[in-house]
Amino acid sequence: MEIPLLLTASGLANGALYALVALGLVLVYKTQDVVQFGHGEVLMIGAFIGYSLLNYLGLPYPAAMLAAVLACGIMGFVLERIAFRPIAYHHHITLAMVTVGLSFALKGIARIPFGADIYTFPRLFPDTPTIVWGKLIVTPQHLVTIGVALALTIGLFVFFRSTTMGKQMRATQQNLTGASIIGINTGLIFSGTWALACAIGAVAGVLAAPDALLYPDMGARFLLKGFAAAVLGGFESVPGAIVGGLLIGLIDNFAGFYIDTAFQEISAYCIIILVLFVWPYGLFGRRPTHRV
Amino acid sequence: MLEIAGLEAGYGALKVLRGISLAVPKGKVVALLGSNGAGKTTAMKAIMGVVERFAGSIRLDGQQIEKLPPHAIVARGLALVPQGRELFPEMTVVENLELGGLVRGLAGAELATDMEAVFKRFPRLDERRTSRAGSLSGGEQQMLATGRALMSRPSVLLLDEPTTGLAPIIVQELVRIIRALNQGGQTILLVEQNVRMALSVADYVYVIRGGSIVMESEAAKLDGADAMFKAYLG
Ligand SMILES: Nc1ncnc2c1ncn2[C@@H]1O[C@H](COP(=O)(O)OP(=O)(O)OP(=O)(O)O)[C@@H](O)[C@H]1O
Ligand SMILES: [Mg+2]
Repeated sequence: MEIPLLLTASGLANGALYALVALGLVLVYKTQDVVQFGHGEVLMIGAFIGYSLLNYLGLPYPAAMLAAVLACGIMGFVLERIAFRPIAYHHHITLAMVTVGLSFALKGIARIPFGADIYTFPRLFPDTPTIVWGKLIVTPQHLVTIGVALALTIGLFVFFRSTTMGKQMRATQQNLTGASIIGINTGLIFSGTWALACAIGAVAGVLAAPDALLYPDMGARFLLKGFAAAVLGGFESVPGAIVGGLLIGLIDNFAGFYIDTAFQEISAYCIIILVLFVWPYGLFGRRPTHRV
Repeated sequence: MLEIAGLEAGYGALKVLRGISLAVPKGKVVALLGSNGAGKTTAMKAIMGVVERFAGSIRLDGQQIEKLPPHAIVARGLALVPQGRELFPEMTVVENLELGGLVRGLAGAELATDMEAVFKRFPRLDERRTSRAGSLSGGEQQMLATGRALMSRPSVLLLDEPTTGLAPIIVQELVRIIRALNQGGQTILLVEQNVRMALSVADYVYVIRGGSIVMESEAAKLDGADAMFKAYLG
């Protein structure tokens, strides 16, 4: 009885991270029709910034993490404006290649100061004692991850429903031509979306780093899991990204325990292939009536 | 007042508009007529800044706007009801209207007042406030696109084929609404395929063909059966 509970708790914590990664991918995809293959590296950059502010500048933990998230938001805003906007209307393949290039560039930049070493990222709370509720045992880090992801999801929901910027972002996602015709500054929306996606990526980065360890190549695994989560959710759906992420986290953990730990490595590929073949619009995707 | 002089515009290497000039005086309805592919939509979109402009000047109430991006043009008082309507399909009627007002900084009570005015003008929309725009009928979508444009309180309203493809009874309703808008002082530039309808609401008419204005006249002086007029409309 305890094992499934344990697997569920840590599966949800990992799943919350994948959900955040998927969210960043989905937001950019909905707005500019491109998969941001450099998104995993955004996590890594966010985590390294957090690490540096904590270790070298000695900022308090929450302040360092918040600053890392803000810095990544600004980085996203600027990256979109200078690296992406000039080619925003080129072929999808061109755009995708640019994001792949971005991934290599960000890894390269991180290797300059940090080399190929692996760093341990401090935790907000020590990992022991674990928190015990009846038969449920969770680590504080997992609780923090689930809590932050939940708060962020609620915050985003409110942002998209009730703020001017959020509504304009949704409008731009649904109809770019319509958005520019009614006077939405679509360029600002593009940059703003990247800022938001990168900030969310940085949140995932600083939450993941204590367990995942910190190194310039750490992003690839998260990109893959986030990608699988987004595919499962339909790639165009924000709730889909979240549910998809949680499911991937759970599937990973259960399959890893009951089938083989090796399965954790390949489960994401299996899910991506399975969904694309059997269920191409995912759990929340809408069969496209037409795409303009 | 909208004044266009020598406007050239198109798509990349393709020049569609070959220097058109026209004026839409304050409080008037001006119609731009022409056959399929004549360049009417291109003209409307070039005025809005959505299609690339190569040369010429566009002035709105005395201000040059031909170099401005679309959002700055809307902010100065132009609004387009585009040919494809271009609504936000997953959003409700209310949200679509709200977005039309947000770009002019409307909020709170002002936004609500303007929205009620739109619902009064389009009772069909009033009944569908919380429906998704994508689920509306063609006529309702046309009304919503018009209402959304009105929410930005435009000084000149551009209508690109508002009646094409709609049932006669809806066309009549829209014509009544366009007339009422104009009687309320709204300046309108109207693109139409339905020549009779256009002549019945317009004060002045331009005919475009192959990207050039080939004929212009006061609507009252135009005979719909005029041989040259018919030839130009192809
Ligand atoms: N996005 C585009 N890219 C390239 N060429 C275009 C584009 N849109 C229109 N054209 C071309 O520009 C010319 C004018 O088209 P436009 O849509 O302005 O005509 P129109 O007068 O509005 O016709 P209709 O009555 O069918 O709406 C056509 O030859 C068309 O093929
Ligand atoms: Mg047209």
